[in-house]
Amino acid sequence: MWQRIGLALFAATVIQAKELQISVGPPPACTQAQTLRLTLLDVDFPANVVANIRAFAAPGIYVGMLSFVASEKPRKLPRAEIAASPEFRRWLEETKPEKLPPITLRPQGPARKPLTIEWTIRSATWSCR
Amino acid sequence: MHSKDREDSRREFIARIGFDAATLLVPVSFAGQAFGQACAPPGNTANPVAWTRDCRTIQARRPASTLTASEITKLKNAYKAMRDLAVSDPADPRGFTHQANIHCHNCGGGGSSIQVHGTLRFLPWHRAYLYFHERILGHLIGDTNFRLPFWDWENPAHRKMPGAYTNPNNATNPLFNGTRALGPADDLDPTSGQPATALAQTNFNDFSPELEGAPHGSVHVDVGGDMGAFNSAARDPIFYAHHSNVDKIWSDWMAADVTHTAPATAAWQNQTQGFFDENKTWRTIRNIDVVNHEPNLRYRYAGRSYDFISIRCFLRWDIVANVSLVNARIRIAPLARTTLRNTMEKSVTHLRIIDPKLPSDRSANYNVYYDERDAKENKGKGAGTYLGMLSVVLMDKESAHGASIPRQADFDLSPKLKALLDKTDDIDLYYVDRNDKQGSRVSKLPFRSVQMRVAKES
Repeated sequence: MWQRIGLALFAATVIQAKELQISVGPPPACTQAQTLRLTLLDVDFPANVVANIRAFAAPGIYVGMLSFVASEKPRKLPRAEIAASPEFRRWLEETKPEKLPPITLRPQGPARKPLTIEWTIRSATWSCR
Repeated sequence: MHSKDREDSRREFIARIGFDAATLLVPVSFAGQAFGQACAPPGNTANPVAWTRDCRTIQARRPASTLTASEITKLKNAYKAMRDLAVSDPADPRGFTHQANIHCHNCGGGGSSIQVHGTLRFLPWHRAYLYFHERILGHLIGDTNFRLPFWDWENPAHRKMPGAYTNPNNATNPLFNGTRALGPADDLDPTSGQPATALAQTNFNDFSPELEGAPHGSVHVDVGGDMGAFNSAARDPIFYAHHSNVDKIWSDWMAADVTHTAPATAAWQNQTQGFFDENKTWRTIRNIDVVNHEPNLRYRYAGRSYDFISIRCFLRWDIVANVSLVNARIRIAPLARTTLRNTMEKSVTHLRIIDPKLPSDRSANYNVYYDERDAKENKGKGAGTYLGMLSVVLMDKESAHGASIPRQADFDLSPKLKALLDKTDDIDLYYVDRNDKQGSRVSKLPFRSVQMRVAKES
């Protein structure tokens, strides 16, 4: 099911309570038929929070998004996937970065309001599928 | 489907849509609602009547932003009638509160055990829900030609909520909801509601969670308020325009390529959902009934999402590699291997099995592998050599009229082609009942012939 090509552990750095910054190795070269995915492992997310988590590889380089609707209980997800956006894949193809800049995961609430929430992830991997 | 399969597929879904839908309840900040609100359907649902197709004129669902003044009036009148009904007869299942509660009840709200989110029911269930909702709205204003509009948020010009839902932006407008965080002048975030990745998927099992995840979920979040939690989302009329667009994108994906099809398994096709219709009759409708919405549900969509999004297009499927059978085993000759290696980076490769011979004495779903050991472990999608599933459905329970066995099946090899080509031996195919978790009855799959078909993107 999963064709895991790239795997990199990283330390999640809390820049502000609302954002996480992760360092993850360069993505694998997926075929055009495959979707590049950033998989977050062991995600802890608080209750009663409605959020879109947007990932950016650099200012203006949008990687993808994960949506959380409200839940009564805190969530512990073994993994959560972010499908890479066409823009990010184009950027990878055009710039072919030897080292990927840290990826910022930015939670935003309804109407794009910045959120200050405590949430954590253990590690992340790239995969193609 | 076996319960473990359900759990496995649910876990996979949840990973891809980003939330654990089983835990969804209303956040405490939403006034007027409480955790554990009752949202079960009213009345007697014990004796359902099976849905039968109707012969209403096929009408277009249109972008909400393009409705004429008279069409907006009609839409508002329909929702006003539905809201009024909820007040005048709170027990009537066609009233707005009960209509909204249908969604709550089917997302685990109010203690319900039903959860359509994060499963392959997501798209057919919402399609059926909107279909009956639309019929009720039309009935309440005496117009069988009434069709829901859709909020085509993937259109760069339509990133604001459609004006009908925000003008006036107060309770005199039946389409208004006072809990929204997104204001009438606000655009959705540029990254929200972007279905390009979903539309690029080549099979339903990938397409459905991809669409349910970011494109669908992000709009729920951006609108916020009631829309931000599944058990309250349908209390906002924009929900129905939002989901009509989700439904349109499914329709667009199906229309974009002949290989884009709904699941072929009997388990999925025969899965039923229950709804009250416009005459308060409790109806059941199967997934397979809603797949072809134009002839069956009597609506089509005006406009396509790929008016704005370039979608992968496979102009032609070519048999690029001759695959021979040697002693009933698949042999990929060296030249064919080279051809496939050269094309695999920028193409989709299918293995077509023609005339597979499967037992016809019972209905069953069979997992197909190209490695016997994996077949015995029978982990399904979790196995690297899993190709896909074949379904056999008996014509009748007594097996008196035989069984429906697929005459051919296409398996998408793209994600595993490299591994398959690295395997230099001739290849056998194996099948095992999907529910046989011990893999104790693994058999070689006989078939008449095979083809390796490749489609390149245009």
